[in-house]
Amino acid sequence: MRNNNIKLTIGVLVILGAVFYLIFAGLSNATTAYYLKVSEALQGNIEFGKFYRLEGKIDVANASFDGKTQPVVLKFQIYDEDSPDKKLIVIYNDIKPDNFQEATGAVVEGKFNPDGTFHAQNLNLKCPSKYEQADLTQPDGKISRFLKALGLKK
Amino acid sequence: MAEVGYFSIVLALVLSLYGVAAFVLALRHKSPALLESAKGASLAVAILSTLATSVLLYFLISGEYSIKYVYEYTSNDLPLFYRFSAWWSGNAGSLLLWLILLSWYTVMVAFSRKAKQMAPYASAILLLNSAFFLFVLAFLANPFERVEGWFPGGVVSNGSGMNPMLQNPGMVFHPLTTYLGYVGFAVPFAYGMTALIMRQAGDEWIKVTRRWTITTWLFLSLGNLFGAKWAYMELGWGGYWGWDPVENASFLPWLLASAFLHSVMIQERKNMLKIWNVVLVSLTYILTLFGTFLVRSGVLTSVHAFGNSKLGWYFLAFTLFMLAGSFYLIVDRRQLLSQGRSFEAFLSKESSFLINNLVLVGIAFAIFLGTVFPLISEAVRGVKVSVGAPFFNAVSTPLGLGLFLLMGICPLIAWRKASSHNLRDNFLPSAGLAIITVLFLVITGMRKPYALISFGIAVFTVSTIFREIIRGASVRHRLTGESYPLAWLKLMGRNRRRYGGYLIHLGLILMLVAVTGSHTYNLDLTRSLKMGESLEIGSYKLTYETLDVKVIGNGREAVYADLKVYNRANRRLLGSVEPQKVFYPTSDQPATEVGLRSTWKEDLYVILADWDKQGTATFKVFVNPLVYWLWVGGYVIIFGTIFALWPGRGSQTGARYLRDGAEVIHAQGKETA
Repeated sequence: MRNNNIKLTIGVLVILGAVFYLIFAGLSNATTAYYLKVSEALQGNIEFGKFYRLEGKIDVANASFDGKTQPVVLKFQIYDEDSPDKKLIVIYNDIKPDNFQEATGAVVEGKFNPDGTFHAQNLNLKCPSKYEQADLTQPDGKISRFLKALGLKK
Repeated sequence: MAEVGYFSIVLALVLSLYGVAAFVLALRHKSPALLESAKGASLAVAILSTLATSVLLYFLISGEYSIKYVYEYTSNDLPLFYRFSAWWSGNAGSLLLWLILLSWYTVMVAFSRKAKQMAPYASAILLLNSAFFLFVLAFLANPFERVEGWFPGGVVSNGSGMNPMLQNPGMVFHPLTTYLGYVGFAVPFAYGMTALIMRQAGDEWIKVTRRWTITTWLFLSLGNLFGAKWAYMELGWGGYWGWDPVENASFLPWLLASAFLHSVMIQERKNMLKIWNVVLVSLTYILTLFGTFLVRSGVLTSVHAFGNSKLGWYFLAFTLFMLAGSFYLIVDRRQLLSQGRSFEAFLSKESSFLINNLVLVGIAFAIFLGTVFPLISEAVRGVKVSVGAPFFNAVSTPLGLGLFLLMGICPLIAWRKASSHNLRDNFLPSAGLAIITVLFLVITGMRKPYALISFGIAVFTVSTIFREIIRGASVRHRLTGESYPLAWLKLMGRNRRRYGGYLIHLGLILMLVAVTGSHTYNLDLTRSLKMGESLEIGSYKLTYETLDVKVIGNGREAVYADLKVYNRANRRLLGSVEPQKVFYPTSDQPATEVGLRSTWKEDLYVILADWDKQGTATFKVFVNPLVYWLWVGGYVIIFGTIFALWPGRGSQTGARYLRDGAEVIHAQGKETA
């Protein structure tokens, strides 16, 4: 019986060891992306070869898509909400996602090109309006006003 | 009318709090009258929640656009089907769905005839959960709020419309099944906590909640599957699973619930792993709340999120409250839960179940860590770092394959102790078959190690499951003299829990095959074509014939391309695909409608990405092998679960294996003696 418990304990430890090994081995530079603000990137605060994740607003009006080149090119500018004049060029070699025109923001993951543009491997669009349709400037109902009057709602 | 809805919510909130107190006091003072009153309160909460929901549904269907929720999610051109599904398209409505399920579950528990002494506490815990949702609905996300500037008697003639992406059957069933899968875990959680509060060391709570757990597990499986299908058909990126935080949030409780389903069998049969089971059921439920927090807080960027709202933080607070409460109970009552007995053998079903549990929880832990990694790294190192799909794949692939291997070894091992001799006899033929398969695949040109291992394990596991079924049938045939098919049918029918489980395993193996095929041998290509031009991918040749516009009802227009599909080698016409971009009257953004040609071998998946005035169009084309089997596997799982759950003889627990050396041997010979 004791012998079995030792064998079982070893088995358990082997599995736990494998889980932790896989987690730590999985956390390499190839799988992790560092969060970065666009303004920080423009200050040159970057390392080539490292994965970054940038979140910002995108300039939808001036985005361009060229489907005739190989690979295809979607080119747009990304900027921080608090400094709209500092823009970074992002190049994404894939098709334009459906909700691109209505996107309020984007998350791009990828590496910097030597010329300072950002080469995105993943593009995720942030659409607060995606499930919360149409950005009504927070209409306030009667009940809501009543609750505010009572101090139950800000 | 809106006031009726809102007042129902407020009244239900008051009654739910009263109910919690009344249930607890009724037990303390042993007052049957108070207990009846508390049960009445739980019924009243359910009726009021139903009333509130009915009012909202009436507004959605009749188009009362002065209600903000109705305004935001519906419009005059929306079909009835989606007006109904608008119920759970938004934040407030989906909370109402959660509430109505929870409140009726509470009634079922409160009035349940099983485990009567446990029902009051369990109902109180469930009512406390309802109270939280009612609080949120009453003060933070009121579904009956009017649009701004509305005055009594004012009419709003149209709404802003439902997001096109939600106008898909997948988005009707995915949220519904996922919510059923989330809410249902409240019941086993409540019973588990009740067992601790009442200092009941036995497994009664597990017996009472078995059907709840399995049914809920099925709904959560379906929720994930429908979500994957929706993503595949509607999001147009050629995949069905992206390791997005919100996908992970519904995968985590699924993993833990799967572990729980297995480990309770050990407690039922051997009275072991008691603490572990309580911990698992608590974590499962708490992770469903945590998932809701992730979706609603905006703390992690996700493609699924419900916009940023403060609501998430209330969910976090409630999650932490539940976590602290259950943790306290488990630590305080730990003596109650001490092991009945120890493991008798290293090679036994119970030890293999233990390993299965460790691997499932290990995968869940890794995925949890990866999901919240940005928060952890920011807290620990001050740098926010995220991990993506490569991390999740790197961790879950080997562990998942180990799990599938275990699934194949398990039927070979008896309860208590397996002799190495009978293990070898059972093991070798299946292992041989797997090796032959792998060699065959290598000869036919397959070289990717993970794919080979995965297919090898799939063959091994399927063959041990079939061997087990055939062996059982032939034992029965020998003992009873029934013909083989009859023996087989009776064997399955009399041990539905066991064979239902095997069916679920077979479904999961089909999914493994699908995931392996579609991840390792997928092809994609993006090309611009002039009309009449062709592209070649995999074994296909696609010729772009025309681009045109058509009206497809409800004011929607579709730009579509017609592509003829040929076999690349012999130029035989196979059919055509029609990728579309659909324009909705209420939205500026078109929605992709994938052109799909699905066979059991592979999916040809075509997206119309862009076009110009000359008719030159850009297509993205994927060839995704074996995806078909993902959905088939899902149906097998549904069938297996219903088979196992179907009431009547055959769905009960197997014999307990407690006395040393004198187990009950089933007449069918289903267990190895």
